[in-house]
Order: sequence, then C-alpha cells, then structure tokens
Amino acid sequence: MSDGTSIGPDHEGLRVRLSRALAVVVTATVLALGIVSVWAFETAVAPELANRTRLIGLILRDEVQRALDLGIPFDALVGVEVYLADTIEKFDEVERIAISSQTGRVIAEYRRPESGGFLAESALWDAVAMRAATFSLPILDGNRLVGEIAIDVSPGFVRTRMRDVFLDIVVIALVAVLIALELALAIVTQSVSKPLARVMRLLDEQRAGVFLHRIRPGGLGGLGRTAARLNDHAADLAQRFAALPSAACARLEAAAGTRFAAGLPAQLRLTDLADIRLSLFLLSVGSEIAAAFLPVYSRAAARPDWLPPELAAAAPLLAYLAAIACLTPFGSRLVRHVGARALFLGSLPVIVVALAAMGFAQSVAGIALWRGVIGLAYAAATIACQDYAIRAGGTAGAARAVGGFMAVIYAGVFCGASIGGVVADRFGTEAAFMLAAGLVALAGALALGTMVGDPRGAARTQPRPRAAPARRPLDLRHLALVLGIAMPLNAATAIVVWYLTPLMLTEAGAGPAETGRVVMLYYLAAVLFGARTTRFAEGRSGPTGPVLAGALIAGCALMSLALWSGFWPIAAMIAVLGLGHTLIRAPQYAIAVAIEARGGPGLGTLRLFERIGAIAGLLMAALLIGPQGAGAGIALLGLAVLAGAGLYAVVLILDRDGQGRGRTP
Amino acid sequence: MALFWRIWLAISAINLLILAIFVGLATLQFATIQSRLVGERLEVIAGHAAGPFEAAARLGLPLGGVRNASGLLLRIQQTDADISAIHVFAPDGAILHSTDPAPPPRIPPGAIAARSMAAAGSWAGNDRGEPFGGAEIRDTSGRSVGGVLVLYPAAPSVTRIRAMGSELMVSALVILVLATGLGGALIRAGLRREFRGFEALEAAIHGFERDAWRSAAGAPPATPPGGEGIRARLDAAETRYRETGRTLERSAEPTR
Repeated sequence: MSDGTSIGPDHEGLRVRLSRALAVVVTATVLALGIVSVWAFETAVAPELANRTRLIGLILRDEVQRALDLGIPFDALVGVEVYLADTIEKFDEVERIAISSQTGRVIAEYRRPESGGFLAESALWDAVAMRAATFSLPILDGNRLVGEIAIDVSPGFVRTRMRDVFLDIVVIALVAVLIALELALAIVTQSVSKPLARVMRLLDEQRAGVFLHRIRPGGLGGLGRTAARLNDHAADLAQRFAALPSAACARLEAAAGTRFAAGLPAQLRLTDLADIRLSLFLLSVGSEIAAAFLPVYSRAAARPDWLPPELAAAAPLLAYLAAIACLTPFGSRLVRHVGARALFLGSLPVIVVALAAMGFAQSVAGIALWRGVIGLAYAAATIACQDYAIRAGGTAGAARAVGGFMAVIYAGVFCGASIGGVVADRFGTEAAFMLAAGLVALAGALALGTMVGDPRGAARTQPRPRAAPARRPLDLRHLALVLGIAMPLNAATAIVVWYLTPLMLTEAGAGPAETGRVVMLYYLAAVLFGARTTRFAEGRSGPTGPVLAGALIAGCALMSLALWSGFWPIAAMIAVLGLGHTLIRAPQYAIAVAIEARGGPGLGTLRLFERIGAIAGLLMAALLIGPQGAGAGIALLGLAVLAGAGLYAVVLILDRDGQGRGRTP
Repeated sequence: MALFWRIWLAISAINLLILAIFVGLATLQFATIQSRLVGERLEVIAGHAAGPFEAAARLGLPLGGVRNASGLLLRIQQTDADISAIHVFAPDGAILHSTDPAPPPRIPPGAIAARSMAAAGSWAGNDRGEPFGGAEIRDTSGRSVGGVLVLYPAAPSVTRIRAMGSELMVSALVILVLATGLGGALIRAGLRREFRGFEALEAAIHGFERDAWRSAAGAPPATPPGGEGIRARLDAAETRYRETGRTLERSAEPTR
C-alpha cells in the first residue's frame, strides 16, 4: 500500500479494526449514560420512596398503637408477620420490615425473598448505585417509648426497574455498531476506493492510447482533480480529432494505435459489491423486522373458523417460503431479461407497499398474502443483488463476492429481528411495519445513486463459460447432503427460530422486545463467525468437518429442550443452534459446488430442497405441534438433525472408495 | 484528513442517535416508574381511608349517610399536602363525599376504566396526566358498595419528568463530546494504515501535478518512478496524452 491504491471496504482487516473501534465507542457511550441514568433515577425517585416509606411506617404504627391502646402488651403482639407480608407485597422497594422492642428484641419481621436477576446482582451496579437505606419510626405506649419500626429499602429497586431499558439499549447499541460499520464502509467506498478504481481504470486506458471514456467526477481531494483532468484529456482529444478531415482521422487511428471518442466520451461504469452493500443491508433490516412477532401477530388476526390458530400463525411464513421457492428457479432468467438494477429498484416499491399493508392488515389471509408478496419481491431483489455482486467479482472472485453478500444479509436480518422487537414493544406493530417500509424506501433511494455499475459488469471481460457437462441425476453424497444436512437445517430454522420461538416466548409472558432479543441470538453467530467459517472451510481441513460438527451442535442444542424449559434455556438453545448452523451453511455450499464440478446435481437442486425442507417442516410443525408441546417437538427435531448427520457421515465412509479420496468432500 | 473527518462525523452522528434513543427510552421509563410509585402509594392511602367507611358498610349503613365523612377525608388529606382531592363514590361512580368543595358529579373516566379492569380490591392509574389510586369499600358479603379515590395533580409529575429528561439530555451531550473524542482517537489509531495510504495517494497526485506545472514552465522533467503505482500511471497517461495531442496538431497543420 505504498501509494494507497488498495484502500477498500473488502479488506477484512479494515472491517475488523473499524468494528473494534466502533464497539468500544458505542459500549463506552451506553455504559456511561447507563451509569448516569441510574444515578439520576435514584436521586429523582428518592423523595417519592421516602414518602412511601413514611406512609408504611405511619400505617403500621397506627395499627400497633391501636393494639397498645386496647391494652395488648407490646411483647404479646401476634400475627403481625402476615400484615407485614401484605404491606411488602404492595411496596416493591421494601426489602425488610421489622418491629422491635426498646431492648432490641425483634417482635415481628418479614423479609422479601431474593429476586435475583443479573442487573440486581451485578457488582458493577453495586459500585455505582445507591446504598441500602433504613428508615425508623418510634412506637409509644402512652408517653413511654416501647419500640421501633424499621424499614429497609432495597438498593436494587431502580436497577430492576431499568432492566428493560438497558436490554433495549444493548440491542440498539449492537444494531448501531453494525449500521455505523456499514456507513463507514460506504463512506470509504464512495470517497476513496470507488473513485480510485475509476481513476486507475481510466489511467490504464489512456496510457494504452484509448481515449474513448470519461468517468464520474468526484472523490476526495486529488482523486476528484485527477478524474476531472483525465475526463478533459478524453474530451479535448475527441474534440480535436472530430475537427480533422476523415482521411486524416483514419490515417491517425491506424498509425498511432490510438482510439478517440466520436463526440462526447462515454461514461465508464464500474460494478462493485460496495455499490449495493448499504442498500442490501437496509433491505434485509426492513424485510425481517417482523421476525420477532409475526406468528403471534398473525395468530391474533381475524381468521375463518376452519383455520386452527397454529396454522394461522404459520400461514405468513408458509406464504413467504412458497413465494421464494416459486421465484428462485426463474431468478437468473429474470435478471438477464430485466437487468439487475431495474429488477432491484423495481422490487423495492412492492416491498414498501406490502410492508405498509401488513401493518394495517386485519385478517390472516391479508397478512399471509402481503407476506407472500414480500417473499416474491425480496427473492427478486436479492437475486438481482447477488447477480450484481457476482458480476462485480468476476468469475474468480464470485465466491468471495457471494460470501460478502451473505454477510451483509445476515447483519441486516440480525438488526431487523432485534430492532423490530423493540419498536413493536414500545410503539406497536404498526410502527414497526412503517419503520420497515421507510428503511426499504431508503434502501431504494440509496441504490438509485449507487447501483450505477455497468449491467454487464466484470462478467463482460470473462471468457464465455464452456458448455455445461452432462449431469448425473443422482449422486449419493449429494442426496445424503440434501436429506441429512440441508433439509434438517432449513426445517429447524423455519420451525424453531421463525415459528415456535415467538409463540413459546409469548406463551411464557415475553413481549416482542424480549422475543426479538432471543431471535437475534440465532443470527449473532453468523454475524460474528460467518466469514471465519467460510475461510476455515476453504482451508486445509475442508468443509466436511465443520458441517458434521455444526449438525452435532445444532442437534444437541435442539435436544436440550427435552431436559430444560423456560426463557433462558430457549435463549441458550437459539444461540447454540445459530452457531451450529453457521458452521454448516457456507461449507455445505462448498461441498455442493464440488459435487457439481464432478458432474453431480447442481447447487440449484440443493436450494430447491432447502425450501421444500423448510415448507414441509413448518407445515408439519403447525399441524402437529402447538406452543404447549413445543419442547418435546423441538427435541424430536434435534434427534432428526443428529440422525441426518449420522446418515451423511455413514454415506461419506461407505462412499470413500467410490469417489474422490483425500480432501474431496 | 478529509477521509478521517467524514468517517468521524458519520460515527458521531450514529452516537448522537443512540444517545437520543437512550434519553427518550429512559425518560419514558422514568415517567412509568414515577406514575406507578405515586399510584401505588395513593392506592394504599385510599385503602387506609376506606377503613371507616367499610366499617359503616359492614354495619349495613349507606355510604352517603356516614357522619363526619368530610372530616375523615380531610384528616387523610393532611397526611400529604400534594393530594388534590379524595372522593368517596357509589358503585356507579357518583361522588358521595369529597374534600373538594365543588366536586364533579362522577369520578374521572380513567378511574372508572382502571376500576373495571382491576382484579384486586385496589387499583391505580393515570387520567390525563393526573395520577390516582383507589380502593373498594365492601360489605359483609364481599360485595362492593362503592370506593375511595385519591387524586394527585399532574403538574409535579410532569415537572419531575421534564427535569429528568433535561438532566439526561445534558449528561448525554457531555458523554457525546467525550465519546466523539474517544471515537476520533480510536478511528485514527485503528485506520492508521488506510489514512497513511490515502495521504500517500494524495502526495503522489500532488507530486504529479507539481511536476506537470513546473515542466510547463520549462523545468527539467522529474525522474519517473518505476512500478505500477498511481504516479507511474499518471506520468504514462500524461505522456501519452501529450504525444497524442502533438500528433493531432501535426495532422491538422497541412489543412490550415
């Protein structure tokens, strides 16, 4: 990087260093304001807590005093604990109430059972939050002091009340880090790397004597000046060349090997994955904003009597998956006919309208219909982006471009699931859908300005692909991969993450924000370890190991629900399932590509069966498993995942002699 | 530096957004906590005030006929100077006794709604910003024969919420200033390689431009650097442009 010609967002080091800096800044900001808020809250509620404590004391003293007035000796007061327990029930901040005699002997005492919770027990908060406070009131028998009432106020009261705000803000901070990362990368791209790539391309043309093109002016500092200078070179020569007589023109072009533009030089348009990064990210955020509450939202909508609530909950997901499955086989043809830019920009308004309509839909049919429309348009838009990314990378960089494309989608889905839950919880589901529609509209507006690459892109410079070799319709390893790994993976995602988790958590009393935080955990592993897993699978160990390890982890995670139930076991299961699936996803495609290269069934077959697996699994779950029996159903699914992995391993061992040795998957 | 400022500005804007969301959510949460704390206390006061009326109801006396009811209510009101009114009402919400010299005919609609949704004998809520707490008065059969409603004014709560919002906003601004400083330092350190690369790029372009205007004024041409860097490409492209321009000039001469 002696003269800066390799500044770009695809550089893994840049992403890692930028993410680290952003994580530190955002964490420090949130932590600092969190500490300040706790202090401010405690100071602000202190007068009200004092009022409440005084009130408790006064009421208790009245009761005790009345007993003393009736002549009951202070030491003989009985049954007061029940009264104290009733009082504590009404005042959450009170930890202990005790009535003691003047000698210090405790007559009656009631202490609140330990409530726990990570914020209440955190050592950090202990260091910054208020100390435990004790209020005392004397008890008089006539004019004689006979004892006192002591009330201990819990120091963790405000902290537990702020728990939801902190959890929401942690989610928002995580999302903000990802958004800031995408924004910073977009700035680097639009300010430096893209203008630099354009300048370098034009420089290469002009030093070879080709003055046919100009480039989009712009870029920071010297890059902008250089672009203007090079554009002027081409325009100047084209103008002077046009003024020559035609005989001189022909002579000149033939002799010097120089090429001039006829009229205004054509604008050179370069295709780059970075052109669509931010738009694709926002599209994913918007499209997945309902992930945390969609089954619950659909189940609560009006439905015909013959439709059971479980199927009503699954209907939008089924419509979505079916729409994607229907469009995917024709996606490439559609891109060829319409063009990636037109298809992408054309799909987004459809998604915007469908998201807004989902927000106002009253019936299951309406929600499912609009979700299906989103599925169709989303599939078209992502296929267009994928095509654009592959053209940007050319044949050699296609795998890397697709890897980058997947990373952006998962980051978006992660943000969508979490932010959707928070917004739905605080402001309602309509607000969440409107926000989603706004984000997708913003994605379209950005793409209008950035998705300006040559529709033929880098693919134009690549040699024509050779005729596809004759394919074997059946390949044992491919079959084992589809049945044992791909279909269980997709079935588990659709059943557990999209369908049952929101329903189970809602049954357990969780709101959309809590559900969103749990669903988000599934995608966390893909965001954190996705790129590393891809590199690992491309490394010496090959893709088979990660696939089997991932299936084992996913199966065990699902089966854990046979032993444990409740909020935290579900959250842990989802996080570990996400990790297992992250280990499987990229390596499984690598295996499928290798099988395709040996003349086996193509990657398209794998994708088709993935969709079929998800739809069949979801349908079965909706018909057979309700949220009440979900734990056992998920455990059974875990068993199926493990059996699938076993099947795949057995086929690999049996087929070892039949097909490639060594590292061939 | 221009690249640094752009990234720094974008990250500062995101930080500002996070802080704004945090302040908004925290203020909303404070309003909820404040309202609940006051409501729960008023609920207890109402329960305490209901005691004498319940004793009368258990004796079969009608609530409207309790003697010295206003005195009883005024004594309760004196325990907290902020209480705006205490009403004793019939099951349909009609006010029977009150500390308010000119009470409304019925309790507020918010209180009626909270009462209808309450499962227990007491309830609390908020009516157009005014916190309230209430308790049922029951007879010997456990049937509700009316209730007591304690009302608080909205102004102190609103003032407290606004004060909290302002306090958090000021703190957020201070934190934003510190965080943007920290962000700037971390971005400078973390993206050192990229910034150096960009500076080298700028230097190469500037060097090329300087040599170009100097050579136009007759200075000896600078030694061209080797390799495939931007400076070498700029020199090669410029040379090709000048050569081509001269060729065009020569081709145009016979026609003049």
